[in-house]
Amino acid sequence: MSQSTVLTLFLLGTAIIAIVFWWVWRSSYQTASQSVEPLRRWVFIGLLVFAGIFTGLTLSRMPYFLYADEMPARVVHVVARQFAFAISERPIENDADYAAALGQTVELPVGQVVEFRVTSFDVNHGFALYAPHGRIVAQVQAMPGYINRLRWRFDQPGEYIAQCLEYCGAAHAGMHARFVVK
Amino acid sequence: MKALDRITAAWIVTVLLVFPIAILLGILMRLNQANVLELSSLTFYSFMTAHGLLMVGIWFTMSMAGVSYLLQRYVEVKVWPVTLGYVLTLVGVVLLLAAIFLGDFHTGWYFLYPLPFYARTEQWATTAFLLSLGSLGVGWTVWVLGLLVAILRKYSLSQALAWQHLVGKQEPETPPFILITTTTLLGLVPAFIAAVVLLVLFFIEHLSGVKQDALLMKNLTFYFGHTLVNEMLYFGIATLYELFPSFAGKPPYKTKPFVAAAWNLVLLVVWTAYFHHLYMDFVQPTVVQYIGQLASWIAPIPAVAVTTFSVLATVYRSGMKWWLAPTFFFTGVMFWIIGGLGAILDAIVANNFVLHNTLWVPGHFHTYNLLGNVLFSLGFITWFVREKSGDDSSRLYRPVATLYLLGGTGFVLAFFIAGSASVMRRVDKYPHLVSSGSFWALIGAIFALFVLTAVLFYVFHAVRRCWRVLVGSS
Repeated sequence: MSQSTVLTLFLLGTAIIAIVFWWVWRSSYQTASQSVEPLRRWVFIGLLVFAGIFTGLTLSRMPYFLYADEMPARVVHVVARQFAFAISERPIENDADYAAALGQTVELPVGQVVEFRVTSFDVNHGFALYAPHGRIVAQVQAMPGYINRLRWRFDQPGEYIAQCLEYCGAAHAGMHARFVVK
Repeated sequence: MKALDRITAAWIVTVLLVFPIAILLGILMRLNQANVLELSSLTFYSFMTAHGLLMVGIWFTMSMAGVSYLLQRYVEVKVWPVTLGYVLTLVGVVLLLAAIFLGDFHTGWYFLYPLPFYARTEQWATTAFLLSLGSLGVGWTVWVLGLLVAILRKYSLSQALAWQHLVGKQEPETPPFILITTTTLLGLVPAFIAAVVLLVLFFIEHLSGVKQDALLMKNLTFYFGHTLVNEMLYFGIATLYELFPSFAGKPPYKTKPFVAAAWNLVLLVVWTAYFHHLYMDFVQPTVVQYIGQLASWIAPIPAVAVTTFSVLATVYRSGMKWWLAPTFFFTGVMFWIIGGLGAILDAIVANNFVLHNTLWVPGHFHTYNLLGNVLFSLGFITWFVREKSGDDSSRLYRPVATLYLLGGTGFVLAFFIAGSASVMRRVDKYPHLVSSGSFWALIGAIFALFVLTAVLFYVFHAVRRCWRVLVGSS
């Protein structure tokens, strides 16, 4: 679901909830008692059906299995460390590799699957991919001692920003890297 | 004057004096993000750490204080665990504020491992911070266990969990307040155990340098943190169940089989919902991620079908006399489920993929805390003030309710809209990448000033009256 769709659904749901509460509040100025208890069962069933369908449909869209049956065209290694990302097509296993990769601008192919292997050399960081239109298209965490694998296919060429999205210390806001998709 | 009255009044006075300060810290953060102020990064993140911990701390303890007071209607409540909780909370808060403001401790409320060992913080401040959490943990655990023992002296565990009502028996009757309080207290026990394990592992590394497993530490952190905040809301709901029907002149709620089933289900579900905090850790076992999404979606169904429906049914054509306390509870329930809607949309893994750690997250948790849980506690406080002083706060009704609700709505909407535009949370300044963030920060700050104004009016009113209870002149 895109961010705009989520916002629209949220505002729609909020409006419905607010209208129901407003309507009930207005009714409280009357005293003609009327039991609404029989409605409870239908509310419960309705919610169960809605939740079942909605969550069931979305469960199949887990990001863990994105492009799982395709061979990635590129494998990109990402190491986060306060307060910069090293991104390279070569493995980054130590401080020397990290220093060598720092500041390199990686070029990635448009329309092909890329696998990011993301880890951290110090604290937890986030690795969020901002597309040229300024919105997040994908993200994963960078955790020390673990490698998170994120597969993604860039459909739009341009300059992308990888931004740290997990608070990692005083200079967290400026922790980002650029790469080009063409 | 009873001792429980005094300690409840002490909690109210303390919480209400800290609340506007914590709001002010939040407003200063938003003004800095709006480029109206120029705080140093260290100052900003120190404010962020203090704001988060103070808000969770004061409203968790206030909701516990409210439940402790009302519990005496059913069982004998010992005052000492409440008092010990108060003293150790004060000790913890003093240590916490010293660590943050004198020692530059700035890791955020969740001090995510191993950040405390990498942050530019005074060495002693990390120790003071961990000791502060220890003090809070001991105080709150003793308090929780004290309330559980008080309940279990009168009710067996199965009765306290209303299992006899599950199978359709009417007797012995378990009031909903006892059922909800018991499930909430039981839910907290393993969360506190997780916190103890987390703290011990932190101390081991702090003292010996032995590294811990980052994934385990993250699970422990969010299991504890999420459960604490979730259960805090349920304490508020327990208070609502106890007080709300009387506002409408109706008899107390009964524990029907579906009520018993709902709260027993909540007890189980609440322990697994925290997994949604780790969706973006792809190395977490995938089955756990499925459980996280399902649990996050199952948890609100009983809440909506039971609590919300009951509140609406109570108000419907009731001829209710509205004053500040029922208004706080009623609007609190509305915003609780609106915040819940924002939360479950984010608890879909596919959505979290683009919303995680954006301002969507503070959007939903401020909705069900500032406009939900806090209102439940303010509802209790308003009722308590009327019980003790006879003043029903009628002069405050329109200005406080209007300013608080209007300001709160605008404040949280600014988070939601910015979050959907990928503006990230927990940054002192927004990068050019998300330049709209500054605009929405300014809007949020302006609306938050309305909330602060309402709170100051309210605090001035309620603290004076509770102070008289505290010093025994009422």
